[in-house]
Amino acid sequence: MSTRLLRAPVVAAVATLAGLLGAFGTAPYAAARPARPAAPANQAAPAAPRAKAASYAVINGSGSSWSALALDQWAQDLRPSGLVINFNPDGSAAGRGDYEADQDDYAASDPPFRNGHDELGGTGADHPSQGYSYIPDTAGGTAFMYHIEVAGHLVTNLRLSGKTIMEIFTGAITNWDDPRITHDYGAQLPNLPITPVIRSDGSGATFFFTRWMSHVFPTQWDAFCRKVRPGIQLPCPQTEFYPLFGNAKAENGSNNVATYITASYGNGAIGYDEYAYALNAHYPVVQVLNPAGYYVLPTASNVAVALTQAVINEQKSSPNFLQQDLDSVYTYTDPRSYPLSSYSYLIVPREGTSLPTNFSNAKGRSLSTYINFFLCAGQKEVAALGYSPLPLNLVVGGLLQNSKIPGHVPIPSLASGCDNPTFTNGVLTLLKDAPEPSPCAKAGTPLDGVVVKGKCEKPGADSNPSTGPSTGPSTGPSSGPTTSGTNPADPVPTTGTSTGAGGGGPVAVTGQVVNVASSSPSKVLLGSLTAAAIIVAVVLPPLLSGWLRRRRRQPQG
Amino acid sequence: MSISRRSGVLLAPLGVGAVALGVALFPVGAGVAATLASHPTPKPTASKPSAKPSKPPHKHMHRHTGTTVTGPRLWIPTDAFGDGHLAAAHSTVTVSQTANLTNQILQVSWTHFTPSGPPGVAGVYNQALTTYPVMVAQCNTVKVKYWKQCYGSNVGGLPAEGPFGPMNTAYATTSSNGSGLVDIQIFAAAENQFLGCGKFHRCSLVIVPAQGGNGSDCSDHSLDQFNSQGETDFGGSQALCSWKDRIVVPLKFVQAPRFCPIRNAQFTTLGSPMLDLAMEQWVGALCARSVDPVTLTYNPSITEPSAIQDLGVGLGDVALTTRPGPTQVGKHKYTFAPLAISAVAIAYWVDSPTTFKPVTSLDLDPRLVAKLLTQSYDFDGDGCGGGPPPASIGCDSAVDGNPPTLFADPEFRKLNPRVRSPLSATFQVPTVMSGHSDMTWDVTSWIMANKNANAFMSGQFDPWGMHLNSDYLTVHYPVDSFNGQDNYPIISHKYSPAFPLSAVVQIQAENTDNGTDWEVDPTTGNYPKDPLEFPGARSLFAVIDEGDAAALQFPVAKLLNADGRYVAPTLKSMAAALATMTPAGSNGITKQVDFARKKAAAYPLTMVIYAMVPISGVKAAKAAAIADFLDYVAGPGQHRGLNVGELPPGYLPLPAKLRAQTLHAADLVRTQAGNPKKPSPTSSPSPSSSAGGGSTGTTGTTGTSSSPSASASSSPSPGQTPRIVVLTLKDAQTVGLARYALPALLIVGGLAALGGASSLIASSAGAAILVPLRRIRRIRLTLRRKP
Repeated sequence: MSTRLLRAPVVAAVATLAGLLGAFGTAPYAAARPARPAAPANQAAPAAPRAKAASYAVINGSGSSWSALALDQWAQDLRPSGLVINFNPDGSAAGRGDYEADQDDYAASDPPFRNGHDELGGTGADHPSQGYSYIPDTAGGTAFMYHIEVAGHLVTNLRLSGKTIMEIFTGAITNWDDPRITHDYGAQLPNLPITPVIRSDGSGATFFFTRWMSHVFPTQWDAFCRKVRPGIQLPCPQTEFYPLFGNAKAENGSNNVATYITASYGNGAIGYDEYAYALNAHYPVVQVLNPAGYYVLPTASNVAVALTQAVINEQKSSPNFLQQDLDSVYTYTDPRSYPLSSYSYLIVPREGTSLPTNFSNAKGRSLSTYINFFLCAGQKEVAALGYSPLPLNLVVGGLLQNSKIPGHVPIPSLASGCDNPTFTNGVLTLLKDAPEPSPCAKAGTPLDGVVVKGKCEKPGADSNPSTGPSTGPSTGPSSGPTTSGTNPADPVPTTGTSTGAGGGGPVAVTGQVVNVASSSPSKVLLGSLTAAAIIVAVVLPPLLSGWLRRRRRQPQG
Repeated sequence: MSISRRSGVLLAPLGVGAVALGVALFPVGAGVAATLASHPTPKPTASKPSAKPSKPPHKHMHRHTGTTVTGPRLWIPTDAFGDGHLAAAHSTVTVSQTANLTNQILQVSWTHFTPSGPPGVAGVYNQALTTYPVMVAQCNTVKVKYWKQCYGSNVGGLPAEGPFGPMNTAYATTSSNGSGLVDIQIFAAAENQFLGCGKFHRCSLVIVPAQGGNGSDCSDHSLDQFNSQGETDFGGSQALCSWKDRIVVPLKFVQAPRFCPIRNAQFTTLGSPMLDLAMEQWVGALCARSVDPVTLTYNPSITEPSAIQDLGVGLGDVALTTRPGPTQVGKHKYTFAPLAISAVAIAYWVDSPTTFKPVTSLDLDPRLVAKLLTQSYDFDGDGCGGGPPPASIGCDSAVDGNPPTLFADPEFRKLNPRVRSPLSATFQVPTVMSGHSDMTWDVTSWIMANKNANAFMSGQFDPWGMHLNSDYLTVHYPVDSFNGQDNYPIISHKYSPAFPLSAVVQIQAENTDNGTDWEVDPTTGNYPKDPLEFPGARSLFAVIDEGDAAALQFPVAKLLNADGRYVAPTLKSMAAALATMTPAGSNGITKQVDFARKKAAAYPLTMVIYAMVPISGVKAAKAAAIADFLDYVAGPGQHRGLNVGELPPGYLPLPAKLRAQTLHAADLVRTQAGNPKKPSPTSSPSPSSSAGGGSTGTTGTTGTSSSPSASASSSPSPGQTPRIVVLTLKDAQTVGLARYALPALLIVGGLAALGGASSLIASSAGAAILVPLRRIRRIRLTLRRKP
């Protein structure tokens, strides 16, 4: 049909008083955008044989906003195959509630159903009457995004131990020049108050972070809970709702945490967030000390390595039946392992139990097709989205639960039918292929160390400080044909980025700083983060004055 | 419920209308035979507007060219106590398109319906308050006898979620002259199996005018003021009289698309979210074709700068970009292939305070856009020279002395003398995309290319004495990432970019911004999200892409071009802008608008979207798949239309010269012409790429040099102040709002409306309407958190 696509000046144009909500509200409400339009087969697909309409039942779900990007991407991938998967990212808690209320065929949630009170959040337990299984969908690391300017430059190579992070987020450390930070980092940061940025809304990020603190530092966590909630029952458990404390700033949603940190007034801020937001903002995140003694980033491969130690609790008698057990993740001693790694779930119907009202075998066919896809080939896409691929053990667990969905399709064979990037023919290749951290990422190495013949050494006299000692050998483990997509953090050689420029006396700045006025593709820098950290002498740039000027009015009171 | 997030295609207003005319001859009304007959049975008439059609308010719109059917004479109340009479004329209903349908949006309009009330809130459908509303629902038959044949029709809008997925019922009001209009999304079989609509399964729309009546006696209207409100009209025995007067319009769907087998993707494409709608069409067509099917993954969440970086670490094979990228990344050489042309659009909802209709023509110059993007208005009089600010947070000295809103700005009023401030015009903080984006770079480059805006950004007052939000004095446009600067709590909570682009679009579609209150709700401990703004009282802006704006039929601003004209994004104006493009980068292919070049009809924010495709180091099978993709896009993919594989509205087809570039690029990819053995004659193999690009054109090329020698200086945002780039790898995502899915909002809105009833009555309209919403949200949250 020859349609002339003159843009409608606006739907609105015709609107009378009437129907405003309808015309401009309801249509979008009701789903706003049509899904893929159908086409006469002979137009879109020349000579195509008659379409054989695969009949997949539409399935509906809601929940985790964190995993929504991946869930959406997978749904979009499968749409041309006739599968319509609706998902409303209304948040984990709401998604679980929708499942309980029979509004969903599946839900997505970062935490499992609460089987007890959330003491800090002041919320009660979930009591779903429907049966369910947990299926891992997306994995990722809790990243600590920060904003520290030194002379108009961003510090980008901050290293911290888990204990220091905990002390920052429980108000025990309040300034960036604290000796405990200096100890971890290897150099002293300026006198700058710390603004911890937390989530004001209930969130999986908070749940995962506090779970880690309550398990790894139970005593300190209990003390913190007591402080912010006098009289709270101990031991203090994890929570979805981070309590306000000290100088903390609460923000609503992951993106607002990142927005605050990257704002001009975010200097001194550090927040916990999904790695994806830091990547999107092109901002640095803390290299966290792992049990093996290396400072590591929450890269796709480092998180996947850590999660090889995650297990799905299969003990029917346990109150945590089918939930993730991350205790071994926290303590894993692989040098690459990022300790604050976790994953999100799909909550799905389970045969032999009470099913959601609207569920059917036909829907089970759709849902299991979707799950088969995302546990396998779909995991190849997640690294670009800021997640980590689920490793073999979680895929095995997920496929097992998938086989318990009523009406499920055949489960693919790990040996040949599951194109997950972490294993080949059912054999985990991740641990072999994932790049090792740079020797200069090891605790105790000099911040300005360079890798020489596989060891981290102080920069020699032969290294020209003005060009930045960085890269030389740091090409390190980079680009092997690693499993596709598992390692976005492959170090890429970089140059240091000192910007010595005239004017003013040189100010010795510690840390790898980047001239904020220059923004080269930063993969480059990332490389140096994992490879060689450096100390650069930076000259006080004129920017500083602007920076100072900007610190105008603060809110009073 | 993202109806599989998007994809679009809506009506093509003018042309489709003409087509629809031809098929407007269905017999209708079969279903109406069941009426008990106190009113005449509706009779269809082919495409003939009633004798006195309501005057189209806008000369560009010819909405009444679809299928029109005639319905019964409807009730005209003369007071609130049941007095009145039947309308002299028969009602009519016009549906914008009734054949060749897919999953799309239809517009339904009507005349000679019962005017809605109550007075004072007319125009804004309120589930609890509106009297004589209208419901439109989709039915699984053309013989509609029962509510249950029409999906979600008899629940009064609640819940929004049903056993077969989101409900698509639409509700609206009728104006005092008896006319009204509403959009409804219709589902094909793939989207809703209860309806099962397809080529061989006829479906229909049912339009139900609320008529009150007391159930057994439809002529007794004495209880209408109670019975004719919102949901009670569409379900239950009280709705019997309304149902009797239903009007049924048959729909004819096209054959379902051929579904693709689930296969592993042959290659991965990332970037340029603004091409998403077109890419979805192409991807769906390519995987379904029987000869040389191509299966590719497209990730539209990733923005351009990140997509290019991702190529270097093996996360993608093809990056989509509008600014020039390097010709070598890692071990691969690349060339550029034009895919389509689109534009950045500034979408808005600005509703008239007197008619409640959305304004459909708005002119913005670069300085006004800069004022909006920098929160330079003294919203709420928070400036230190203004009225009493909240005591606890002081005042915002950064905007001292500035006008309180866009609509009070003399510059805006001079440009838009007929636009008046909407009822709830408190903040105009546009929703923008967070992270780094070519779209952001384009908008801010356009601002800086304008002398007045440039001066404003550097701190000069405008002729009326308004100045830049002083917190932004350290920001030097152009930038490729918006960062908040104003720490004043009220503003910093309103300033809330979203990610990805689809989320920005969604927020605008939901009639809200992405901000929150600045104070924590003591119950939830959270900052309450800004409530939805009611249609009729909105002032909302968003920076989005023209593909999405066209698909959702958002009003978009006319922007000032170099020739001094205000031009909206259209196929024509985008085509004109092509003539103002100059080479960008040194690859010999990529071009961008030169903001200084004058052309009267050009829309300045027009962009060509390029695929950055590998011409070396790729294995033959993958290279062939990529080449096939390019061949398709340069061929059938440029045909405008609504079918799978065609180029949707909002995208301008490539002219022949650009198509030739794409076909040539396909050859280079297929033969891997950049491989050492056969050096490509065309692509300059400069190994270290074009960081910074040759042409320093007005837009400042950036290259993303990721060559090993990367000097740290290829700044995409020269002069940008602190912050920027440091690490990064990819872009990622976040919060994904599934695009376009909002039925849940209906619930919220519905609850809000219920809860807000009393206060609504007390205050006739306007901002007060918004208060109850807030309260309801809290209640809802509280409910959620109880076991």
